[in-house]
Amino acid sequence: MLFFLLGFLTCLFIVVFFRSHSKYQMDWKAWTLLGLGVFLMLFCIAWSVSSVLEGEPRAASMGMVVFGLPSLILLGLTRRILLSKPLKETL
Amino acid sequence: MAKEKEKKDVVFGRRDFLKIGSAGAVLGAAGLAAAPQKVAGEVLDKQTKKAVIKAMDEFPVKVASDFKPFRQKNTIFSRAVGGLDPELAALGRTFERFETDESRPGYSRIDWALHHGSWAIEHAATPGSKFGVPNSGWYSWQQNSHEERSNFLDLNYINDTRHQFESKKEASAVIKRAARHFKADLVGITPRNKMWDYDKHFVALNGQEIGWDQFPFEPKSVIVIGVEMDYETVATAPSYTVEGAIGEGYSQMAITAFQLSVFLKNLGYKAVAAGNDLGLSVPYGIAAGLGEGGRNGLLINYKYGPRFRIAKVYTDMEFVDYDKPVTFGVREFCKRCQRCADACPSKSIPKNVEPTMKPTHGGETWFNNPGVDKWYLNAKTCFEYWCEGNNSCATCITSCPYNKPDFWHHKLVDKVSALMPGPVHSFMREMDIVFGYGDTFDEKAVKKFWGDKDREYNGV
Repeated sequence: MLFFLLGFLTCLFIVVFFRSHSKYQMDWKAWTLLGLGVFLMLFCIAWSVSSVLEGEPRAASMGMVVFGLPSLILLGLTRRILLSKPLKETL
Repeated sequence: MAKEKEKKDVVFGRRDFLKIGSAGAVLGAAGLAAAPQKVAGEVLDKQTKKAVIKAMDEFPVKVASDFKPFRQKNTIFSRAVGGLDPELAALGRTFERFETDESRPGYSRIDWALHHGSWAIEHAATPGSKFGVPNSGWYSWQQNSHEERSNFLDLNYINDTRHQFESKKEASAVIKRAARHFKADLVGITPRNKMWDYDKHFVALNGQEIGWDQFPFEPKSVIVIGVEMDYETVATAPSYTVEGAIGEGYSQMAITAFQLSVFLKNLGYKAVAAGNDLGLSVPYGIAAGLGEGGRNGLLINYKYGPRFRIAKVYTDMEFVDYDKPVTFGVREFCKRCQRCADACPSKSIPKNVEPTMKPTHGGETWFNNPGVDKWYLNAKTCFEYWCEGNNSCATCITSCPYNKPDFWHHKLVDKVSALMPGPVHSFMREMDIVFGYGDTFDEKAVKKFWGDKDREYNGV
């Protein structure tokens, strides 16, 4: 179930990548931050779900702090970078 | 014109590249998604562990040229149980005293009962073997022929005709498959090496020393068996509850090793099952490729860490493929980690960064055998703590960062540790603490062990 969820989310993020690429001006900084943010988000989910399954709730919550929080920060930064530039259609 | 068209046909745009790349990613993700979680984790682990686990041609630990085999009389158990040291013997007699405390999780009457239930097979089938007593019960040295067996129900005899294997590889595979059938979690085969055998056996129950000349045959190979101890139970260390894991491990050792010895005898080979007797289990385990020696003096396995027990089967069979020792970065990690040394309540595990050729703990050393590059424990203070706490402690197993449930993310962390240099190991150690692994004296772990939540017992 965990790997099914990860597979589904990976597909979802690929779609988001393409939509962002066609809509926003994506430079290398935005790509790097988005890629890293998404990777950390997926890793956070995988880690935390696995920790719950193995019966280690503290490891699950620490996983959210150590991997989830940086992931949210990186995705937030990506959003700021993308919104700071005009949309592709308006160019 | 034709040339231009041809060029146009082979042009591979960035967009096409992305399309194919993303299709591949989707297919890959879908492939992983289709596999059950355990299988997907195992596939990932199998594909990546080759990068960190390395087979060695030689024994991977430095051994001095003047190294001498250890005399069993000098183990802490021999001195205590055999009465060679009156002070230790008096202390040893206080071990396993019936003393319960209902207000203290892990020390209640039911924990005590779990302790005894778990050890029951070991005590009944191989009396004294946990202290290293040789030639006892199922670990008996008898090599009866078909005619000598006591009655038709006695299956523990050597078959008159010897089975010939077609190849060494086949012989090795058959032995390992049979061992797994008899509930061994790990199996490795190595040549018998007199360096790792006791120089002389010691029967602690009557104080007798026995030489190898009394052993019924010349052993050629040693089959080393690993039996896993339950993670949840080991998490309760130190307590009577953790004795449940240890005793269960010892009992399973007796069952598995005995059954494997009878299997070999039925194929016409001589065989003797052994627990803590005959030889040193950790170096034999290293030689058989089951793991590396850690700071805590235990064998650290890739899958189970130090959370398993070791039994051996000595046999005269030598037409067999031997396993090679392996390394996966344990010794390097142990240098900086030191969690076991910090957790040890009796401070019996040394804290020197590098392993040494002789003891560094500063106490008595008659129980140490110098000449091997390792960390030397203070077995006396360790045993004194066992007697004081009235249980076998095991905090060095619980606190070890290699002691984890069998999940993909722990294997990933182990691989990162193995591939990274020293400072990363210190960071990993801190993370292990922060993430809540390896806690000892954890009363919640005892409550969790006995908790009924989310457990099913009827298969429904």
